[in-house]
Amino acid sequence: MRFRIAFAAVLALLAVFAFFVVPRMRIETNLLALLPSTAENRVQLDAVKRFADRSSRELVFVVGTAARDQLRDTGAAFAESLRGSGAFARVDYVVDDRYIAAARADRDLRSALLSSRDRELLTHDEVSKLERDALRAAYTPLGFTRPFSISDDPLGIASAAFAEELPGAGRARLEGDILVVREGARDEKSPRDVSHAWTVVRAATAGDPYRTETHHDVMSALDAARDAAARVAPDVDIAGSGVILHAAAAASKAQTEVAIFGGFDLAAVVLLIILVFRQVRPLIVTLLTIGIATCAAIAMCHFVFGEVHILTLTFGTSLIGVSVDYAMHYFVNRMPSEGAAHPHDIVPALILGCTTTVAGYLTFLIAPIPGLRQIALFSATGLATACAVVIFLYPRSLELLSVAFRKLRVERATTPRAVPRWVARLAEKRLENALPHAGIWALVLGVATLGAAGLAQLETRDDVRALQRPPPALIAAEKKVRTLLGVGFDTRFVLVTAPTPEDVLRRLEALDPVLRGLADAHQIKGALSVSPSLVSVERQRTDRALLARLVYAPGGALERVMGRLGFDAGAIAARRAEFAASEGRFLTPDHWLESPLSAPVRHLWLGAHADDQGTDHAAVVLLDGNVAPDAVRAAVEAVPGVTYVDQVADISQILGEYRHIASWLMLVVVAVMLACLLVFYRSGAAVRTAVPAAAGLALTLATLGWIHEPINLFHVLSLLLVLGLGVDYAIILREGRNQQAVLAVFLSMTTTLISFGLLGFSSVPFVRSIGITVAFGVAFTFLIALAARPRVH
Amino acid sequence: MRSGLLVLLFWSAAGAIAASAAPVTSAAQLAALTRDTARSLARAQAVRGAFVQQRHLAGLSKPLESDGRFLFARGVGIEWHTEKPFDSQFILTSDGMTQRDEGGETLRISVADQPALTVVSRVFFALFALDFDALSQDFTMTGADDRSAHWQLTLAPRTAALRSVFRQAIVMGDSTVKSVRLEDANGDVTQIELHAVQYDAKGLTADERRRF
Repeated sequence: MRFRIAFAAVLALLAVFAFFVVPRMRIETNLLALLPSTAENRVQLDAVKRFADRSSRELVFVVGTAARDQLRDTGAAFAESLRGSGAFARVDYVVDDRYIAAARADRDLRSALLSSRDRELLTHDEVSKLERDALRAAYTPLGFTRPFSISDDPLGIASAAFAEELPGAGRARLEGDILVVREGARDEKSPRDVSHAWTVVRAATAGDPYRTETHHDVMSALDAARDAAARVAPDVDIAGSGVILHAAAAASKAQTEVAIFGGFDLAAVVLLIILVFRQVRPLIVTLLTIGIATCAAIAMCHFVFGEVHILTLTFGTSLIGVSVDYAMHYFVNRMPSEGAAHPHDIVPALILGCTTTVAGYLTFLIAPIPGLRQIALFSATGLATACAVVIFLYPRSLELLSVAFRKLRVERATTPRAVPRWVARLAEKRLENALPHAGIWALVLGVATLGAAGLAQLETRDDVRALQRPPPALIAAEKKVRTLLGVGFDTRFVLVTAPTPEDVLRRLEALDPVLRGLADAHQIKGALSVSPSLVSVERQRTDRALLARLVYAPGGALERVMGRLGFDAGAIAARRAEFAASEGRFLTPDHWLESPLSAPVRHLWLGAHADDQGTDHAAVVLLDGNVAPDAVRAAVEAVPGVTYVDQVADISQILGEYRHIASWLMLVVVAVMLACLLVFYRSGAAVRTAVPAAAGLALTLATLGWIHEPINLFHVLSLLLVLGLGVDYAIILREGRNQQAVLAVFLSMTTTLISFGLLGFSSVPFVRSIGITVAFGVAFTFLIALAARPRVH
Repeated sequence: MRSGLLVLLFWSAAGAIAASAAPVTSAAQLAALTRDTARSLARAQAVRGAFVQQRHLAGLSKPLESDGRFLFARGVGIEWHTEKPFDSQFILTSDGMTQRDEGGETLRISVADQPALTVVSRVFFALFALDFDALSQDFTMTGADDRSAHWQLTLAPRTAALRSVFRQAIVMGDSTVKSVRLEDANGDVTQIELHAVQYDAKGLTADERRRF
């Protein structure tokens, strides 16, 4: 009856997995999804997320060749190929007249826009300077730099406002209709002397940058575009920068790792089972158990998180090595050996072992790191399922399998084989017999000294590199792009939020002088903001009033300048009429978003965030060359509604805080464990049982010290996991029959060692940290437990 | 009325030359066409001279006239020193432009802030140096050769961005560049006549160098 219910439950689980989970399953590849959220409130959280979503679609490429005369065509071949691939929503290469055309088309909306210099002159009654500049421009080459002609814009006000709102291109220069950066000798007259010339192509992906299909589309489009560019200039060199490149690299790496680690793990388990049990039935049921446990773990993550992270799967390969323990205990227990022929009832031992391991994983939940929580839930679910399968399904299904095998004559011997002889010999060997008493003490002392020396060398490092480390090639390409373009925007930015778009703009305008002050003090190089491209209605009103009073009024600057230049009264009247007609017309966010003029900074305007607590609007300001983060934070946060966001620092801080918490937790757990065992055994045997786990932890830490691996949160959590996995070893060795116990613990340790040892080769730093820590931890715990196990009478 | 006539005259003169001779477009042919000037320029580290500039603006009955001196320094920059109707120095280098009035600096624009400025400065540099390779990146060029010492080049912008502000330039010369005519997209015309042009193989004086 119990078997039937359990069997039905497994069938139900597999049906749900196959027909419900698999068709809907989303594999998340966004490494950011793993990171702790550091926002102070929901608006900020949402804004940061939206900004990350938008900016992760953006890509910048520099396309370089030594053949300067081929540069334009090379860039065009690259851009055209990208455009033709359909993987991109936007590919920008040629600089055309769209900005100036848009500014001309919007003349009526833009008649009250002022550059900051002109606003300054007008507010400080220095209108005479404005007039003088206007006259100079009419007679000198200064006039040639103005996009609006003198008769359209006699005072150059519209030209100045237009020039100010387009962001600078850093080191890139407009040559013809493409942006060019020259590397090496800068000589304007002879471009052929220059070693390399680079042009700039910008693009935005069409699909979700964190979907595997998008990665595939983008990467193959890039390969094709590289080839297309190489056909024009064989020496072409292309460097790109963009979040999607990181995401694609991380995802493909993770997929490879899942396949390799999973494959190795399974092969090792199969080999071990064949070597030890020399029968087919244990192999079949063990593999089925692993399969069921994995399905349950994936389904649980799917239902709880709505997705399964690719790194959960990478880490999840360790489930193979750990979940197999219960099955192996079960089979080892059935093995006959001289003396004790009857198997123990191992259900309590299985439950105890499962509980301690699951408890180890559940400590991962203390840190507010979504990726870690998913891993904990995945592993805990998988282990509990494997344990339940062994307890509820094994005896009966093995009987059924034996019957089937007999009928099919596949395998004649259905009684379990004996414990292999080498295990039996190992079980007889004892440290006390091999070494004299003094020798044992010398060994302990030696190990303790080495351990202490290792512990003394321990360092800690809590930064985001513990979570994520992009491939060196990508970092190099990114650095190339930054150096060539001369812009150093990083992950730190400024977030401005307010109840209405107008308020966001007012706050941005209040922030502008602060940012200018920081730039003047060389604390930042510059900033990128929607202001002044988009102007608050309030500022447009004030500026219009200034213009009306000082420029367009009878006898004002317009009349004086146009009069001096020789324009007749009709022309002056026409300009005045145009200004008067535009009264009450404003440049609004909606209009601006539609205009090509917003393109360079459109992604910084985050728009509305609405929920039950109201609506908020937000915008982001990027900082270039932020060399004084503390001063910058203090200065910008003095403006209401402005937050300085530094996720990297926040994450590092969180990692540090939780490393401390986890370290204390570890000490508490060790103390509680010791206390429990003391109560349970009431003798020195308690110490003998507890020492292996505690000493294993200490030696693992010492080893990390010796190999100069800086400790972070993940190492400490792994030690808690080692405690969960390793405390069983001593208990089983103490409680179980000698030979079976040694074999069971040996198998358990070996599979865990293989699984986590493989994770130690992961390219993801935190997976690697957990892998090596657990691998060292279980190995040490096993060796100490074996050496310190009590004599069985 | 007078300026209208002037424009008409210019137009017909340009038309006459263009009609009478086969246009040449390749850089090598253009270099051959302007051989005398090119030869003088090739040796020169600095070019000095005087200019008269007339700007014919839409809505203005008479052109805005200015005159002064210019200095082209190879690899350094261009100084455009307007003396009348007021004293104003305009200095263009590859990094940006500076406008100085009565000695004090009044306005500086860096090319880093305004990429479009590069186009202006490149055109100026290339015009003075008659660097056909550099010019051909931004312009399609047509030369007309009437088999006399005179030559004429017409430069039309290749790109929409440049065309939106600037329709074409006509450069005329014999042994030196004599005039440059810039036609804006909106019909404004700037006519610059150069006089007393001297090519100097030695380069800038210490005093001149300080001004850049």
